[in-house]
Amino acid sequence: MKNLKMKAARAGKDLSQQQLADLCGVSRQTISAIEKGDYNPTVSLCIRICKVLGKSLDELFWPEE
Amino acid sequence: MSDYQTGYLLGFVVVLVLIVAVYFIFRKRRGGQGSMKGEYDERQQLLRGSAYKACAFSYMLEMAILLFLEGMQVDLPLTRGALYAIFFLLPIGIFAVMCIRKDAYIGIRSNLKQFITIGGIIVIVEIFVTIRYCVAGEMIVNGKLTDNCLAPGLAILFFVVLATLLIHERQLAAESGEDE
Repeated sequence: MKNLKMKAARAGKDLSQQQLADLCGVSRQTISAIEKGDYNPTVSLCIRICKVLGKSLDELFWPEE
Repeated sequence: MSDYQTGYLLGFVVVLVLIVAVYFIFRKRRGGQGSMKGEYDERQQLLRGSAYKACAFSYMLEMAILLFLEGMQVDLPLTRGALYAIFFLLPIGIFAVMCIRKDAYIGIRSNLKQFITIGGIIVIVEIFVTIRYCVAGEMIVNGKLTDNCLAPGLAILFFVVLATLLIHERQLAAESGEDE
């Protein structure tokens, strides 16, 4: 399932995938895979992404009902 | 001990010392960290794990084939050394190609250009070594491929790895524009 909330949050912060990847210490492909829903990140990486994007885990990674 | 054995032992010891030296040089350059931890992100480590599994499975499969060939006493057009060389290189190629295709070969802090340069040099050197062996008639002796086939084997391996890497990088560059 695509993570559109994360993509929107990244776009809201005006960050490219590469910039977000650099800030989180991962490769650009990993960010791309998370946004596409091809990879489920660990909680540790989710927290790092949330901190960079200024969002909570619920806002970015909790599935909508 | 014969001259051959002395030379062989000396060569073995030199290679061992070189491996240890290279390890410590890299360890020092990496600030005392001996492991590759931190070089790859969590997704890459996960994918590398499955590539290692495929590599180990290939080795096991090759071992079974080798035992079968030995048991059946099959006369192959290559020496035992050549067979070992091919069987040694094949799983490494499988591992490399699998990792490249899943974006897990080049670490997040690795230098792609440096890797391509070193790989390219290895390919060129091994091609020259192969030509030298062929000209000297040392590649095929008594109708059998000798263990000197390690040189063209390495050239092919690095060429395949580099070609896969370059093609994949080009695809990624095209995709990155669409993803943004």
